[in-house]
Amino acid sequence: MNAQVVLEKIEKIENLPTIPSILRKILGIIEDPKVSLQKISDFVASDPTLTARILKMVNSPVYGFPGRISSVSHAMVILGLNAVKGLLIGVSVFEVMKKNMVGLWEHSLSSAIYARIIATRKNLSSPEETSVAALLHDIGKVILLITFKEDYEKIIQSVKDKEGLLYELEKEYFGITHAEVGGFVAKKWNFPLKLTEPIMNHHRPQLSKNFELETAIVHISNILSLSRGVGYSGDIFVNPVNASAWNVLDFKYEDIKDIFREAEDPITSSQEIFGIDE
Amino acid sequence: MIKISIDKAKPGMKLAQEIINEAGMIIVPAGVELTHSLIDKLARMNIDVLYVEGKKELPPKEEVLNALEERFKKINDPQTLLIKQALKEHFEEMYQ
Repeated sequence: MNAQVVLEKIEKIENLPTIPSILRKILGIIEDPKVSLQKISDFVASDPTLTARILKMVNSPVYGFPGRISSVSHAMVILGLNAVKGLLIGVSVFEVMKKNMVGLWEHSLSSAIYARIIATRKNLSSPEETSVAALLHDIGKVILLITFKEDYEKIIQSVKDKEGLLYELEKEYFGITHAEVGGFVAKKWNFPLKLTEPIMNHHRPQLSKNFELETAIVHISNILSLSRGVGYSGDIFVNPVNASAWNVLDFKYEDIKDIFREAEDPITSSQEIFGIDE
Repeated sequence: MIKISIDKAKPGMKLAQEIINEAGMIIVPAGVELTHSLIDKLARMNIDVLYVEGKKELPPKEEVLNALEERFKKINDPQTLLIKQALKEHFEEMYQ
């Protein structure tokens, strides 16, 4: 297979029978480049399952907002359009994750927690947006699973057999990695560059020119989650840190330790909250 | 915080998160200590799970540290090794 064949099939993903109906509905709304906060708000409010999922997410320790956010419109105001668009995708793909790749949801959640903590330490204006980018950093894996299930399962098995890194084996087989696939669909869904660039480049952060820091944060959050051994991302070995991302982040030993420490409780409790009753 | 099913609830446990009914209303706020009568009431209201204060039991330390070594087997650059060292220390603290 080559990258073009893969992307052509993904381009038409809405027509695939394997795509969850909730995701198809959401894509119909968010692909409109002129969609307003009000329209998204109304759409979510009209679907009780979606409302419940969004509120559960924003009230979870992943975001750590004080007090309780009790309405979708309140959540929209706090998070902003971009983060909400990303969250909608996030809460609608977790079923696919749970069904097809056990542990990917946990990996994504913990990456989102690390990203929120780091973005806050770095004083980014909207740490939630970078956290959403981290929540969705492996969306490409979900897309590859929906589109090329058998091939992708073979690749995941080969990570164990060959003791390799998943994105390198993807590149060998598909000519493209899950990161690039994720960036491609994020663009197609009209996500802002602040989300698409970190998703697209989380395995080669040196390529990000507009959102260098956000990309470096998503890159390292993925590695911290892999290191801590939360969930399962398809990889069994920790990916090495990219030197240029490391320079951008400028972490000392104590910073890393603090981040691990601070993330521990939110990770445990978010696993509990999203664990059994879905 | 740990998640337990209502049949595991015991008097004296403290709620780590408020209990919300189907309509989204808070029926018991966080911080409240469970009593026999409260547990009975919740069971009758079909509340199945609750979050109480406390820590989950950790897996054996040996096991955790061995798995960490295995995950970092291919790593030899100084930055990622620094992450490994910080994580090891973090694990040590968790088991103190």
